[in-house]
Amino acid sequence: MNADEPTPPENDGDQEKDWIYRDSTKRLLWAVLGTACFLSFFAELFMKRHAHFEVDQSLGFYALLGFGMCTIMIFVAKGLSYVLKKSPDFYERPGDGDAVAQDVEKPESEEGKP
Amino acid sequence: MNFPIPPALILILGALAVPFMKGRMKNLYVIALPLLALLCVYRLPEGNLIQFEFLRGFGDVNFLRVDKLSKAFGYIFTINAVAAFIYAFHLKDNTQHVSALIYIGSALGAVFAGDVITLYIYWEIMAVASTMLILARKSTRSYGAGYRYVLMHILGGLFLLAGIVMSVSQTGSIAFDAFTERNLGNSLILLGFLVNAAAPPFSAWLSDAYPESTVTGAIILSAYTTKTAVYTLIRGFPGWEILIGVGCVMTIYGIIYALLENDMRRILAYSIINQVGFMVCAVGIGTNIALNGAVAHAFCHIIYKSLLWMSAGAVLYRVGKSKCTDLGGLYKSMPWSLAFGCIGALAISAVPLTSGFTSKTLIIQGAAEAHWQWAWLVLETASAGVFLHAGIKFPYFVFFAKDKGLRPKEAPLAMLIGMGILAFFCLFFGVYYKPLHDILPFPVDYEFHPFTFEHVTTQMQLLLFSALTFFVFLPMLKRTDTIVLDTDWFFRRGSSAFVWIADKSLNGINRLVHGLVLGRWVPGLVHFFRQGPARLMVAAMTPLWKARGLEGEALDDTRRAFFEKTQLGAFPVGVTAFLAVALMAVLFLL
Repeated sequence: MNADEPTPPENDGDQEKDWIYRDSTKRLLWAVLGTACFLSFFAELFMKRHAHFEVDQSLGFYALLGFGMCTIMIFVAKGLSYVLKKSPDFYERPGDGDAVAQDVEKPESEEGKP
Repeated sequence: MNFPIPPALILILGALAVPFMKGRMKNLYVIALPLLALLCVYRLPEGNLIQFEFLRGFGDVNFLRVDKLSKAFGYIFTINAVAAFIYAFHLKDNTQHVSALIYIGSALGAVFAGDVITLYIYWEIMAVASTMLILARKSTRSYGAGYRYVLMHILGGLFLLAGIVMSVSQTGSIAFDAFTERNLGNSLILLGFLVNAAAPPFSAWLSDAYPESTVTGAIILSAYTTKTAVYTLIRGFPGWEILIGVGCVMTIYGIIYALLENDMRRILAYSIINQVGFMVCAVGIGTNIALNGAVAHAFCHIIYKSLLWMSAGAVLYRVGKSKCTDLGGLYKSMPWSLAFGCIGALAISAVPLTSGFTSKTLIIQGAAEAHWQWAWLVLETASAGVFLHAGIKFPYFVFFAKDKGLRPKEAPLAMLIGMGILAFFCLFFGVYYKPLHDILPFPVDYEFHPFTFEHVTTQMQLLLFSALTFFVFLPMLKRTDTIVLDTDWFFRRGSSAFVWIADKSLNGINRLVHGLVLGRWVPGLVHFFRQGPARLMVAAMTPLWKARGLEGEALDDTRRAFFEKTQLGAFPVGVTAFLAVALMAVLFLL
């Protein structure tokens, strides 16, 4: 489903991977997503419009809005990441060695055995 | 019903008995309390039920104002509390139980408060009790976050208090109704409310503190502070156009930051800001349909957002990690948490047949009917962005993406039941929305049908193409082990800068003054008073010695000897007596 190739070291053959990580599954899911996008676009042809403004009268407005705006937001986020992303210990001072969360609920997870 | 019981007191007074209970009894008790409060909210008749005089001439304190608006929030606050305490059936920590109950109770109190004094008191109790839920994590980070959290809420509380004092002295009434005058007092009240609604730049407390809270604490926190603020905005500031702008900024801000974040619970924290933005914007539009939309969206949002936090909480509980870079591939070991999380994710994305769709459609419809074109465009954009950051990103990176080899057990049964209840409501209100629309407070003159062919088609088109964007640009969304700077930088790093500036400037002045006064002036004065009289006398005597013909070394020797004698006061008696007589003669002549 994505370009993020999961490669557990022991699994070389495609069929040995979990169903969700197989390349064939990825292709299938891409096809499903593409078809769904097409269907939603196709359905608009049969739709009776009650547009409130001028912009939303054109065909495929919502598809364009969804794709275009999300793309812009991803690129804006990517641009900001160069300024705003910092290493996780950015705020920690040298003395705060124990700053990693000591989870109080960890001991209880032992008791939570079903 | 003879005497009305305030639902707030059931939880707050009920909380006091928690430390005396043990084991399962305690857990059953804390589930029973909000159930009782829910029943109590249901049975309350409308009207101002508990009123008494407090400040003569300023109107009555209205302890229990019941109308459709306060009841709608009363219902969802108690329903969510029941589900959260069922989820937390494993929890034995008294601190969390007591502070959660007091926190929820005071949120209910604020919602049913009919005057600003009662509202303010409950508002502050909420801030304190919620801080306890953050500190309960007992880690250095949570202590820091809790400290910053409470400071920010003190600031917001002070805005509110200053506004209340100005507003009450101007209008002469403590009643809490819609504020119409656009003056400083009312603006300060608005600012106080907006701090709790997490409007930027006062939003960093939310994304900073909630993810540092405990598993249960974060679920409870996610529902009440911001939604109480939404309630007070609906009650106090409908139609204040500035809120449209604030709300729109919140929706986009939440999305961008959620896209940047790596911690799954911070992603959810930012999506709270995004969702509250929809409600704030609806309040700014201020028409009945938009205000109904805000109430409905708050109602549905509490359910699906708690559900998402529960799903993330189950992962944290079992795996002990919350960074997306550490997680992935959990779909096999925690299928139920995945399924419930996905229902929450679909609901927050407003996919048709989920609760988010029925409520968000109202807000967007409200914006369109009021002809706020740019606001409408931002809200549609934000709807697409929600699917991107919460609807897909959260489940994808936690449960799928790269398999990190984590094989934890499924969440405990009680957690699954808690999630199941909320997941049921997400779908129930998505399919059968009549009960939800029945409790909406503002009258509209037509039946609203979200499930028209047009609504469903356009919404699906919007969402599917957002999903397409997500997977097309997936390499750009790759998680990195980083944190993201937010406005809290200004007081976390800014405070260090402040200390540095204070050190250099104030301590510099201090050092300078110290050097001048203690290093120079005081020794100078001491020197003057110790040696001054002797020097004066030497100076007076020198012409006399010169007249007697002393010169050069002999004169110096005489002067030194006389100086030492004067300092020691060691004159022969005869000289002293002569000087005394001379002094008396001078005095006599004068």
